Amino acid sequence: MSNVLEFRGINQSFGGIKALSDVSFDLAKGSITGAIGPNGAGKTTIFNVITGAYRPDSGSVKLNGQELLGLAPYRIARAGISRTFQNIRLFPSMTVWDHMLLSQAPRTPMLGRLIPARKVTERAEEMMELFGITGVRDRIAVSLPYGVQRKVEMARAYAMEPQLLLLDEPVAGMNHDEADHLREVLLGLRGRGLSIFIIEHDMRFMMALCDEIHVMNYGRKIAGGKPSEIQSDPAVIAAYLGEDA
Amino acid sequence: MLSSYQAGLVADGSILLLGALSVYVILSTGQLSLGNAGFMAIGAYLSSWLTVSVGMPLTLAIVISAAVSAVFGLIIGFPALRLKGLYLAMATIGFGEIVRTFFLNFEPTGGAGGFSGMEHVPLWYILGWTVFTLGCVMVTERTRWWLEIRAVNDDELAAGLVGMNTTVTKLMAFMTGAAIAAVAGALFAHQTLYIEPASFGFERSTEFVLAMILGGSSLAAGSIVGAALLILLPELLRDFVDWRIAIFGALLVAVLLVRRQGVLDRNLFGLARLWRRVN
Ligand SMILES: Nc1ncnc2c1ncn2[C@@H]1O[C@H](COP(=O)(O)OP(=O)(O)OP(=O)(O)O)[C@@H](O)[C@H]1O
Ligand SMILES: [Mg+2]
Repeated sequence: MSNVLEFRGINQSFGGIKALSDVSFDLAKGSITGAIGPNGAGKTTIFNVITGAYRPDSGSVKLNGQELLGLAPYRIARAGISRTFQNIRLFPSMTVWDHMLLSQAPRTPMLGRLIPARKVTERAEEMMELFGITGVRDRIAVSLPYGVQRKVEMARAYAMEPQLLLLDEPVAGMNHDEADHLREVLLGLRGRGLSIFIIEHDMRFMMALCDEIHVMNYGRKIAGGKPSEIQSDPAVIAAYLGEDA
Repeated sequence: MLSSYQAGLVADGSILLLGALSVYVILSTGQLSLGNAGFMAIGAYLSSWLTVSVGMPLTLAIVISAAVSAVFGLIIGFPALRLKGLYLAMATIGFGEIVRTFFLNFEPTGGAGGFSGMEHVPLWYILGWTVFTLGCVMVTERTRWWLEIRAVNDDELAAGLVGMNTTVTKLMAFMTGAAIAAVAGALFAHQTLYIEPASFGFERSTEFVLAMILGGSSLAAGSIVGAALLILLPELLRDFVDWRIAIFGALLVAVLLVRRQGVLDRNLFGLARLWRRVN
């Protein structure tokens, strides 16, 4: 199986803090990969490097063989990577529907953006259906409950027709049933060929979802492998001692 | 028929509305310009020179002036990308003053003495440009382009990560605003028939901003209300002579205290739509 993303030898520091130290991993095409680790381990920083929000000190990030480092964030997004945020970032003035239309705009030619074509509105409706937010279509997105906002963010990200979807703690703010439903949705997306990279603290959720998991601690990758292998890895158990373990 | 006095008020209101729209388009991307009188001056002087000295038809002169002003908008737009909030506002004030000082010292267009010789335009011509421009902005407001503009204003970083080229959006807004202000300037010049650098000072720029904020800065229609209020209130307060400016100021403060978003706002329109759907 080929890789959708190759993240190699990345170093990222902020002043004296080394947020990422020589971190490398690959994401297999059409798989769901997880990243776990204690608070401040560097998980979100990985997302920020991939999406071009940060410029790392060294290393390389390739999407299907194309180097991403140095590209502006909007170019990376158009190349096929979309994400959600740990601290939800929806557009405060917009309805759910606006978000669905907007996220498809960058891939539409200039004039096509004047009036949403039927294809666009159909996809927008499909996205809302998929994530179960059709009922709140005309509500201002930021006025909705936290868990629903996360769904709007995911729908916005997926509406961009990405090859790789990055999810930063999507289950936070959701109850058990919602989390289970989300897992089904994500497995369904994988079935459609989408690659997903997900950060999440909820171990029960991650174990049943991911094909592979990478474990971060203090800016280093300390383990990586199948969920079952991770669970019994001594380094991982040590990192989590005094936390969840 | 309107008396010539009333016609003058309508013309002033139209030009003010265009000025307010020029600020509105730029502000919609989160950039506050306090220098739009500078673009207005460029439009006024260039179009007047083209009609008087070159003998060009007015409409063509206006189109050319708007295009040239848009180029200046682009030039201002680039440094503006690096400035935020107050600092951007200060920089645009600086731009306005540079333009004013330029025309003050530029003898070919009369320097401090001003420039004249333009032919008077009929009211319908001014109204035509105003309705056309307002229409363009209001139609654009209903497109996905406008969603992109709002996204830049809402959260620029997120907009970039959703795949939007925020740089292009912000530059386009500055260019469009500059072009609209130039149209306002050209119409102003051919309505008053005499222009001087003092007509395009800081007060002019703030008047534009005021009309837009008063009427409502979240939709173009707000500028109509704002421009109308700004033109009509001083007239209605005529009886108070000496106190009229003070009363006017107090009213302004009151409106902004009660409705910070201005007289009209997007939600008001949204509510109206909801009301229609429910009934
Ligand atoms: N922009 C920044 N400036 C300075 N330091 C930063 C910045 N971004 C991240 N860091 C630091 O890098 C380290 C890793 O942060 P990161 O957000 O990646 O952690 P995380 O694994 O996502 O943690 P959490 O589980 O709490 O979300 C932290 O020490 C953080 O303070
Ligand atoms: Mg994080």
